[in-house]
Amino acid sequence: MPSFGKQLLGLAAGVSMGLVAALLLAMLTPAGSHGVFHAISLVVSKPRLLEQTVLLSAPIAASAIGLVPAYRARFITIGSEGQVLLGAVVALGVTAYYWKGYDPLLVISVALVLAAVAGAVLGVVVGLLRLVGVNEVLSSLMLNYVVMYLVNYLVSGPWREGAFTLTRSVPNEYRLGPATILAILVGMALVYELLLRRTSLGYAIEAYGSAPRAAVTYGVSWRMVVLFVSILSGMAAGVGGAMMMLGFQYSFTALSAPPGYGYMGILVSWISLLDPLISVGMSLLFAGIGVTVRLLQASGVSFGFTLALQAVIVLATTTTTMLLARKR
Amino acid sequence: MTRFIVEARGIWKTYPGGITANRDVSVVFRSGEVAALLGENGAGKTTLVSIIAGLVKPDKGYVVVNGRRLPPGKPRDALRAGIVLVPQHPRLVDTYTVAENIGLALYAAGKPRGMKEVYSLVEEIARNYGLDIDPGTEIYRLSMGEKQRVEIIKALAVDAKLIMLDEPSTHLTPHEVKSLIALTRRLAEEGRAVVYITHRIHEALNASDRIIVMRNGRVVASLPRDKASEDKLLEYIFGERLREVESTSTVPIQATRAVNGQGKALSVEDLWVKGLRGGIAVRGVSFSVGYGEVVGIAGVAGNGQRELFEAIIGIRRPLRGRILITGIDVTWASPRRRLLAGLGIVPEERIGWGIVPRKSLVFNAILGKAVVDGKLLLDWGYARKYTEEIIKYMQVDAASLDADTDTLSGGNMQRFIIGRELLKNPRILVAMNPTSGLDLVAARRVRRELVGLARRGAGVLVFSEDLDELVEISDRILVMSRGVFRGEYSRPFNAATIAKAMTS
Repeated sequence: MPSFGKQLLGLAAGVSMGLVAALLLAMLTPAGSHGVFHAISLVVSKPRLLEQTVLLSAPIAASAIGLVPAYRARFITIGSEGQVLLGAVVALGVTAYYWKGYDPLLVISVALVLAAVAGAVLGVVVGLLRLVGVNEVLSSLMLNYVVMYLVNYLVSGPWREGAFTLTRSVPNEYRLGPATILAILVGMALVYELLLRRTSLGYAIEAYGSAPRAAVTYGVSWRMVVLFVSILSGMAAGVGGAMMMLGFQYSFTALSAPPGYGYMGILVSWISLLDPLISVGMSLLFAGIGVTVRLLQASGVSFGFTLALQAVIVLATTTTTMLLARKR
Repeated sequence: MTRFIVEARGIWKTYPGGITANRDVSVVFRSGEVAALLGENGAGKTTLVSIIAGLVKPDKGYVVVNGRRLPPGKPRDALRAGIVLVPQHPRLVDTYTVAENIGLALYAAGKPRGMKEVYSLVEEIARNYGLDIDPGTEIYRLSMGEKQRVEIIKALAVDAKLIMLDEPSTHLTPHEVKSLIALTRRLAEEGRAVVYITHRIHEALNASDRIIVMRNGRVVASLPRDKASEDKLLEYIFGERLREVESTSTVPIQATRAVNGQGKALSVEDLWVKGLRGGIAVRGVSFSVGYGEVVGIAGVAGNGQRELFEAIIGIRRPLRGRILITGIDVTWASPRRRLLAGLGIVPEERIGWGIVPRKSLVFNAILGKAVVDGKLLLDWGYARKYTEEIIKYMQVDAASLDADTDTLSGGNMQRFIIGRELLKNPRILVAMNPTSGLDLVAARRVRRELVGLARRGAGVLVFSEDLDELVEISDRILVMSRGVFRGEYSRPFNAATIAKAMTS
């Protein structure tokens, strides 16, 4: 395995190559090179757009951070999508329906904690199913749809406001700003980093992920590993969902498809070399691309184009890191 | 078969870790000849044959087949030129059947065949060469010895002209080695070129027409069998280190000693264990290991030893019976509780079982400690010191503490594992084929450590397919065959009697 520094270098090279390719691709759109560069210059210079980037990155980064221990243990859950949604549901419920009127700091804290718990519960379901032999990819994917339809039920039923399928909004005093969100993300990343590098639990996760038989022979309980990583991934994604709701979403309308932040977290987690802090940086980049494309929408570029640009970066980084990992 | 000549010319290879495995190596292998490639662990034998088979790209030099240069680092071209390497540790698709693996090899060799044909081909080869195997069995159900058989059948199926066997005796009993040597002879008579890689002098002398000795990445001798003698070969293999070898071998290992009578380090009572391949592999086994005692378990591979070993270390649930470690009933306990009770484990496979690959020596030094100790925070500073202790104690040759552990040579890795387990001061150490694949010096060192541990008052249980080894170190030998003990022997041992019991 190449050293971490070398991998990082490969990652940087991949991201740069991906960005160049994405830029070329974007210049082929109706926005043209002028429009693209203009939009980019706005995103990196206008505080409002930078703030939007941070907000948008929250659910992606939180999911990605949570998935790091899971993927290091080779527990391939893809449940962050549903966990983000459930975290958002809980945050909306706490702030807009059930805890309204209390002190903001208290309400926001409760919303974040309960969202973490909800995500963890959803995560541990996947973990428990895995213990009895159900493949985590399937069970977590199915749970994502369960949560999506829960949102739709709430929107059209108990939480419906007025004639539209729309919920109440998060009251202004409970909304989160970009600085708070960035602090929470970095804090989470540091905690997860510490957990992986400095604790016996992190050791067990690393050992089990790299050599299950050696790990189990020398005392690692694979059941514990599976349960812990499923909880850790759910918790982080749940918090991500709360930040999404309190940061920029504010309310729910009916969903026809999962919004995709959790799925994006999966990609970010992998291309960030399964490292929590790098995941935060990469999420900011991904969110920045989203914000840029949103600006280009005025020139007739579809928002769906964001995915194409992000895909280019994913392909470029995975290619370079894979090439680096090849050794003879 | 036409004449077939493979030449390697001026091969150099330095690995990313900075170890130069081949220094200007040139060798020739000819059809009709068994060439033994002899040398210590780390002499560069495996690198050389891997380069010839296209699995490793040399830094300099090239391979010539019948006058044509092979493109470097292209296994498929080597295969199609008729070169097959039978690796020390079989490389097969675990979830595929024997026949499917052979089919895959035929496809890679550019000779694809239907599955029905492959089945009959495997059966035909098995019959012709006495390599008994069921083509419909999945690889993961096979023992190491059987997997190796599949690799040899693979070589024959693609009609290899040059067959290179890398340490083929690693997983074999003395009896099996004899038939393997007979097989290589036959392959040479059929006009194939055979390379027999080994670190065992007597095997090289028995198996070959010509002996090529490697030391420290260089070919130091190439001589016909009848010009070689044990003393001469020793000189070539070890060079200046010969004196060190001699000094270690003049101190005989004294295994007999007073056995501390109180309690048992390990007791196994009427143990029944399901087999890797279904069925019941261990059928009502009872024995114990006292403190201060080395007990050896002998037997031909695949007679229930592996299942018994796994049941004792706690990764395979028994059907019934009892296992007690230092008097504590651990029959249903987790591996962690067994480690806490004082169990030390030296598994058969090093990479992936004894150590975690792609992790540093420091990481692997605390395997079995980090999780077992029950502390939440890891002390990496302590772990580094502990790693240094292991390295110093067992004289592990490592580039750095942070190097990936799987970059160590086989002998060094095993020394590292054994050092780690010894420094934990286990009350009972259970080891499976602890010297497999090690050279003379390394193997002696390991044996002495095992006996030394018993002398300090721990129980030692050694599963080994190497009867000479067990005779050397054990106080008692139990012979396992078809899931039960066929005999129990005490010193002085009669190897012939024990060998007979092994095949009963």
